[in-house]
Amino acid sequence: MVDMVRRYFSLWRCFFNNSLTRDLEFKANFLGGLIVDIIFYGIQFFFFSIIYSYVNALGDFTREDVMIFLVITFLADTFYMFFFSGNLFHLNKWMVSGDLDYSLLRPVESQFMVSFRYVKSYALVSIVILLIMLITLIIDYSKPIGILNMVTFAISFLMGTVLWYSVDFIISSSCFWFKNFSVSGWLSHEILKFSTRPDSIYTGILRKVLFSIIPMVLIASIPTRILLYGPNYHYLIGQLFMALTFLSLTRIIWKRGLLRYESASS
Amino acid sequence: MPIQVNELSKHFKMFKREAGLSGAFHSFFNRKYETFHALKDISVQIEDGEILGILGENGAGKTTLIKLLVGLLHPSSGGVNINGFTPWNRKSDFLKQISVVMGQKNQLWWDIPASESFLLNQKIYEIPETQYKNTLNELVDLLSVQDKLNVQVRRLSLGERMKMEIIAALLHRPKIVLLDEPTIGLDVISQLKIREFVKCYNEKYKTTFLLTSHYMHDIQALCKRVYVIHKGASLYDGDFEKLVNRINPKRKLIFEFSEIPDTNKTKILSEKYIFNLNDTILHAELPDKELTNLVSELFHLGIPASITMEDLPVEDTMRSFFMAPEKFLE
Amino acid sequence: MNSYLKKYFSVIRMTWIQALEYKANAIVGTFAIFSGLAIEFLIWKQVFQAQDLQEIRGFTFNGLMAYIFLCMIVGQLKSSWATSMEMIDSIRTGEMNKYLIRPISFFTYHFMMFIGHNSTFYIVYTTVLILFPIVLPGWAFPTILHVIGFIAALLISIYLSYSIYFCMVCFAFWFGEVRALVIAYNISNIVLSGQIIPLRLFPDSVRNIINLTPLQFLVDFPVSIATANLPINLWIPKMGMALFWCIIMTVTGRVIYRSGIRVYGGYGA
Repeated sequence: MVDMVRRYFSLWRCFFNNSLTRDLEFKANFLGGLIVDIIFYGIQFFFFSIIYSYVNALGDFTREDVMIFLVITFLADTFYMFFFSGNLFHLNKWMVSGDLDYSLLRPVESQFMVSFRYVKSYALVSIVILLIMLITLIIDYSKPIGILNMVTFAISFLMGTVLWYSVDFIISSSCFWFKNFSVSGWLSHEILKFSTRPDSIYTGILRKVLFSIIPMVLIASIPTRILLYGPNYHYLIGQLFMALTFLSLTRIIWKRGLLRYESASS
Repeated sequence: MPIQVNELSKHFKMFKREAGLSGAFHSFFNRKYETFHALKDISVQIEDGEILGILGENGAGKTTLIKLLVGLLHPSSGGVNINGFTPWNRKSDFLKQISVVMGQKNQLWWDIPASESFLLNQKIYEIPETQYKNTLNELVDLLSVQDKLNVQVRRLSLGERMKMEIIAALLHRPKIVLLDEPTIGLDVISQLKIREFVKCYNEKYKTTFLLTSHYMHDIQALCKRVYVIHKGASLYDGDFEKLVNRINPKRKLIFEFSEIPDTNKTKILSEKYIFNLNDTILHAELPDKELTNLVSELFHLGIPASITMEDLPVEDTMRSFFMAPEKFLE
Repeated sequence: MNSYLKKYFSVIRMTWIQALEYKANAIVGTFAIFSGLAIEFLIWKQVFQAQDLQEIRGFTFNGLMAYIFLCMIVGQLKSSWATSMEMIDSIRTGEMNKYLIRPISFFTYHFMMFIGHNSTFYIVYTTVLILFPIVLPGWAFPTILHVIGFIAALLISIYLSYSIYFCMVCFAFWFGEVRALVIAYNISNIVLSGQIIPLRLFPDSVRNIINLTPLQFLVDFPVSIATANLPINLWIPKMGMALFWCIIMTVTGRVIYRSGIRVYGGYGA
């Protein structure tokens, strides 16, 4: 078990080195990626600043809280981009072109290959910037935020990433059933939108759905609540349960999908 | 690793679409499917160290067969046994012993040097450091690409890229290598180099090669035995030369007399054989036996200045074969 | 139909057949509109309820929703994002040699591709827009004149949007990879053209700047006509402005393209 973890970790490091070597070839990507990220962040701040010019708080989330919430959504997004977006987004393309074959022919767990093969190394720059922003906001927050909050936040945040990975993975893998499912990336993006707004706006059935079947509020809203309002074990256990459930679901779907896989003929 | 294929069949369900805009509308709401038999009852045995050529036209089922052999597809019925492994279970131990090179696809990253991709393969196939170094050095020497290792793949020529692909595929010393159109698009010299390499590597390591190619010269140079698929069914399994002889047993003769031969004698001869005489040069295309007889009779007519005998181009032969394969195999 | 038009019409038809084959596109597009609308609805409901507001800068809650709904539709109809990515790729990889050696214009060919790509949307949204005043009478399109005005403004918006994208795409001749530029523009124009929040709710300072750019004509203009938020006497001068921008962007695109093609390396091939 330890050996396997070590092996896969060293494999990932090799993926990372490969990707970094390539990304350094195109320095403009680092700059371009950063500029796009900054514009994206700016636009989101702008959106909420307009909303908050007409209102003082959306449910529990005051203007100050929403700033932290936003940085956390950016962090979740960029974190996810760094690890996965270079992979899952292209799954359909690989399938149609038959490039998936090479991943399946390796003596390495195929789900690992298709999930981690390409690392978007330039997202690292944004991750660093966001972490600095988050720490500044935490220090400036009107109430002190303790270490326990931060530790449980980190755990909650990671479980959120696992959940988002799983949902995106399931959506991307549906290309096994739909033949050419080129819109999967777009669909994921639209679903992810639900995670970028504070959970307090969701009510009724939609709220239940976003906590369970499409657990979008567990990605950023719940980690934010844990960071700002203290650890809530009810949420944490719920998140853990959901993360495990969804992760096992990806395994089942991937295996089923491979059975269906008819690689594009030459 | 002997390969045993038993009554293997594969069919696909294909989405059938009517032509034109109204057809597109129609199938938007109501899709029809039809079954396509890609492979029908294929049985074949391949021994260790063999180089087997798999022949067939486009769409005959070659690629489907290869994909079944490496476990990318599940068969509809039948089985494959490769040294105790069933390919589509995709066990790590099995995958470590095979390799695939597809001429039209690349496993190497476009934007980084090939050496980086090799390192990744080392990790993926868990190749011990010393073995990795030795193998790499040897392959690089054999294919003479020492100075290209650290060049981005996109800057390599097509031939060099294919050599790198082959190195990447052989680093883990697979026991079975599938070459799917490895020389496609390459110039004649690169084709030759790759052919020589495969031959030499096969002799040295007794690696089994399965080869598909549209270049009959590839097949002729490398494969003693070929397996022919036509419309998904097995058509021929055996010696390639024999197949070629069966299809076109004729050979070509150019006989040059030192002086113009007696026209009366040649006239008598022309009643027995078909040939073309142009002053001193005689052309003939005849089956082997007749040709030998003709030559011995020609010696009586005069002293030759030169004699050449050659096989008919194998490409042409195979083309006429695939136009009507049934005709030649009865 | 003359042969010139026929050539380009066949491009639309081709992409159309392709688009129909994958109904997923239409389904996801509709999902995007309704999920986006749901989020906006919930946020603004909270805003209106929390402050107990009757209207914000002249928008009632219903008026705001109608406006945002139409904005999303117009936003999708005018977005040639996917086509732009294809154009960049074809310049970068040398694929565009294909167009250069054919009697077909790069600009027009891809414009038709873009129309073709979006054709499923046209079908779905035309239906939606016809149903809209029937299901929710009085929310938008008070008179037939507003329908005509909307369509005219929408056509201008589609063309204007494409010509702006085209200018940016052409920078690929010099810099190769300009996706980042297009993505950055795409992200910012979603908000700055009023696609998510009406321009009228923006702070005045920001609005004054946006009014100096063509962005106001992309989404806000057609939707303001449809929802009767723009006085009729302003339609014609605004249309004139919008057409003026179309000319400017077309000419700019031409100039950039002409000089770009001179430095074009014809890579790849």
